[in-house]
Amino acid sequence: MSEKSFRQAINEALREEMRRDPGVFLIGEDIAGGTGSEGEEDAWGGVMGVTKGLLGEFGAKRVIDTPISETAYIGAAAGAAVTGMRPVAELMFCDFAGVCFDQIMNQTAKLRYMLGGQAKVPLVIRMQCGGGFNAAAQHSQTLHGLFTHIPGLKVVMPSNPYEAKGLLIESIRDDDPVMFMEHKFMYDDKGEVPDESYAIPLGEAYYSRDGEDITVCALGRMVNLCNQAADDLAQEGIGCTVIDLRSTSPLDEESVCESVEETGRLVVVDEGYPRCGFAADIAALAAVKAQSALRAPVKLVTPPHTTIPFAPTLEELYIPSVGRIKEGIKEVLAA
Amino acid sequence: MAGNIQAIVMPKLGLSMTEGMVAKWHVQAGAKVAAGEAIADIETSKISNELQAHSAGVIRGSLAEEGIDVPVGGLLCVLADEAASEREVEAFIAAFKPLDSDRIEVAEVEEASGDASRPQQQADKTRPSPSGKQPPLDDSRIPATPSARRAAARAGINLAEVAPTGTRGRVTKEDVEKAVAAARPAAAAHPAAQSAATASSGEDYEEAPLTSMRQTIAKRLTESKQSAPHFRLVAEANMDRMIDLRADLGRGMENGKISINDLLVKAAAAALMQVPAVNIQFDGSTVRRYAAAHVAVAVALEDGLLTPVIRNADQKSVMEISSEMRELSRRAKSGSLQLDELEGGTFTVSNLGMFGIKAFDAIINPPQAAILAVGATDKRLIPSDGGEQAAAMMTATLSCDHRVVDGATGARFMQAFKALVEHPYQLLM
Amino acid sequence: MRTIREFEDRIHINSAKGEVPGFIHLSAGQEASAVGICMHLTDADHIASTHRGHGHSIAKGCDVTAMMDEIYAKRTGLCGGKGGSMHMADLSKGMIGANGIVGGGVPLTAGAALKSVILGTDRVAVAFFGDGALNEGATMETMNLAKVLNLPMIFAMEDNGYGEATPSSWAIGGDPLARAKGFGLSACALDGHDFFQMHEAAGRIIEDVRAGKGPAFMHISAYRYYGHFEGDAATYRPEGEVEKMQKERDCLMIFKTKALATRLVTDKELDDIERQVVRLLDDAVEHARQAPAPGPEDLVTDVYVSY
Repeated sequence: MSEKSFRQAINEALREEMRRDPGVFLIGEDIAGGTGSEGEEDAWGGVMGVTKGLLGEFGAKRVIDTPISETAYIGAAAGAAVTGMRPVAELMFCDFAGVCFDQIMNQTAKLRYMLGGQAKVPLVIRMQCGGGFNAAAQHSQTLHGLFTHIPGLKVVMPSNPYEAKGLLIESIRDDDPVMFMEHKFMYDDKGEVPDESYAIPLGEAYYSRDGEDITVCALGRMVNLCNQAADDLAQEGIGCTVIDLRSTSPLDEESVCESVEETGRLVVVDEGYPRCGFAADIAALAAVKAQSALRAPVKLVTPPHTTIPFAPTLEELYIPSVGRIKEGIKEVLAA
Repeated sequence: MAGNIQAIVMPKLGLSMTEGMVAKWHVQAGAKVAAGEAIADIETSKISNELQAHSAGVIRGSLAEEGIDVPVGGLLCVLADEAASEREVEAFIAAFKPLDSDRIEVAEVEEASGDASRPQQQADKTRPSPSGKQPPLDDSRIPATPSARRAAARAGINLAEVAPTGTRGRVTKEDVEKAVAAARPAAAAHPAAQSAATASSGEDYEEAPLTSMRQTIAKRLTESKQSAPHFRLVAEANMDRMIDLRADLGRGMENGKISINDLLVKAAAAALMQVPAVNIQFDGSTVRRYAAAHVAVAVALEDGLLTPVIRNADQKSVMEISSEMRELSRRAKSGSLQLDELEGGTFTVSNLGMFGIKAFDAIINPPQAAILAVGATDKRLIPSDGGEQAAAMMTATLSCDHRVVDGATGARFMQAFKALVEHPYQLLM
Repeated sequence: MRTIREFEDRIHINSAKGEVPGFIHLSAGQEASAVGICMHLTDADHIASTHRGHGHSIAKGCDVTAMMDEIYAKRTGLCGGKGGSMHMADLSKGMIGANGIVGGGVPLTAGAALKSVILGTDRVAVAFFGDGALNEGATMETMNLAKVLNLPMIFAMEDNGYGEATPSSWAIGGDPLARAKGFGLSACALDGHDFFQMHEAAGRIIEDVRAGKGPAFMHISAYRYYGHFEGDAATYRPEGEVEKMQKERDCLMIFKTKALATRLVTDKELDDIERQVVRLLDDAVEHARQAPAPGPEDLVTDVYVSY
């Protein structure tokens, strides 16, 4: 066991799975970088350096740089998956799903069903998500809600390096298509990551804080903010259970309901858009399945229904903060 | 040559059975048994039954301790032929791994001899048997929700011993709570059960541990009395016509097979159809309304009572109810009822009339919401056209759970019941 | 070819009777292209098709009865009644699927070809698509990707003259061959009405692609006898066009003439085939009519392998 960054954890997961299974290959834009140029080989290892070093070990047949043609290579990855391979495609930014959404929504997600169960589509699409870099409207979105809406896709979002490795390994081994969302703010986050291979099951939440007064649900980077809020509030004698859902599809409904039944109060924190999104989904879940346990209205701490702004002053307002999360928790406790 | 070695495991006597104990061994280690020979009495909180050897052989290894709960599929003893060496038997026991209790078929206890379809353990697994005496296994790999994991840790229970009902086979918090609740009386019983063999006799008393059945009765009725606010409705019914009807029905039949109780069960079922708000189950939060009346009938035993259920009693004829009741009652007394025959009742009829009890009230049998206590029928004078007239009268008392059944609802049921009892020919239609 | 024609004709008739649910796109008239190409493929070679995919499926070896069952939305269908006409597929035959999205199957085909590159096998993949899909970004992106990654892939564009109701001559800006060549593909025009030409040229092209010489493009002229979809009166076509094509350019007729002239087949053999095909389709339609529909238990299965 040693301390590793989120980036290293993902790299390690890819490396271990590529060693384990010759059907695993990587495809995407600049995942090596510099292919065909006389300059440095493997210059980038992906725009965030996540896949750096894999070209050297596995060669260009399994670490495949593509032209900037998301439809073509995401579709090709899906086609390779249907015919028996286990591709991991990198979409760079989840925002770019916009240019290849047909291949994600109408092909990848539906192939198994349309083919009456003949097909397995063991495809992982890795992509970064999230704001905080002042990258503005088309490079900062967190679109797990959009993907979760579509039957046939699984949607995973780790909140720390340990989860990044375990969930990615599980996602690669999973026989269904997985949208694997990496928050771009966390690539340098460090944490304990076992050296050996391990898989974390999808659809199983983790209580990252345990408290009896209120349940706080989140995913990805927001879990860390919720943990901070919970630690602060613990000083004031308020006990929060922070549930790290880890995946929105499948969703660990039981863990949410069990906790809400204990605490009777629920706050959902999310960086995605609020309408028809993750936060609303969890609130609906509580209303449908744990209504009798609720002692106060559910509070959603999300961005406004607004495009992500560029200006740092505005983006700071946009993304849920520890302060807003604490306010939300106190509001529910006071209700 | 290696001998034939087979595991004798805790049988699954009903779909919901997860554990049971050997109440008494009929054999000792080293005993030679024939296929079909009774080797032990198995007892669960609900029923007891005989365990038979499924093939001939010699009982080897140590016997599971009497009075200790063993999970379904857990090892009770080993049946081997004489060729098997002591070392082979030991190796077999060391390598024994119980089947998942869900995967064990419900044993057909009454016709168990030489049944080849019984689960036989293969000596190819490495996990030791989680019998009561084993230290808890590491359960971190057992799929469970975080709440369940926490609850299990708090209760000191091993997740491996909890039957999972959650998605993807996970143990939920509710599963743990159920397991904890089930373990409590059983755990309490261990010291008592162990001391049973040497039950100390004081000067003027004898100590006896509670049987599983008594423990269950104690637990459930205490719970019922504490959590369900009972209220009672008493009504008297004129039994003259029912007595005549019974005599008519018995005529031409051997032994006068229809009993008054059969007719009362039918009347209760018919009344439940008229007032379905009483024909329910209630678990403390959810009410289940049933379309058919599943009437449980209390059967007194030497030590305790059982309430086998006549399913769809509203749709059955009096004759059918009568013959089914006779069979259930016989099997209740011989200890061969299946768990499934004891579950699913929506209402209970308890009749102490044969003991000359005039009237009594009964405790509701949860998750049901009402129970009818039937007293003795005796000749009483009742007012009639300006005078008095003798009639066979019976007093019945309905206990209701006020959380889900109101007074007027209960009263409507009693009204319907009384009308049916007093005009019993309707029950034949 | 005769099976495909009979298959499509039966559906045309039975669809008009209201027997067939959903959207149906028939390929009667275009048979020679599907058969001429697929005859050079094995089950291990993959194809993907279009919304007009019955012919490709039959040519690739899909079971005709199971296909008919599928079109009749039956549980015994090739896709369990969950895909229908537009999603006909049989992975065991290398048929990745028809596709309801114009151009949608082209990138998928590239994936099958990519597998061949990664594993170092000599499998090829053929993307069948229409003149309409030539204008889709997905197709053009994939032509470029196939060239860049040197994929063993064939782009088989069947130009049946109309993208839905709009003539391809109007909708395709520039020359399709020049477009394909612009992406660096080897490209040729083929007469999709002449089976023998199709078969011969496709054999040569597929052999080259199999040998690793890079992706190829075929501009195949074709003609569909029925409308874009069943129920389309096809009034956008000039009067007499269909009749003229059927009379002069029908691929079955041309096949018959040439095959008889070269004594490849006899009249009697053709008659035998005719009888077999009619019986096959009689049985398939009857089977499809009688087969059970999927039940409620099928609604939520096959969404995920595990969830």
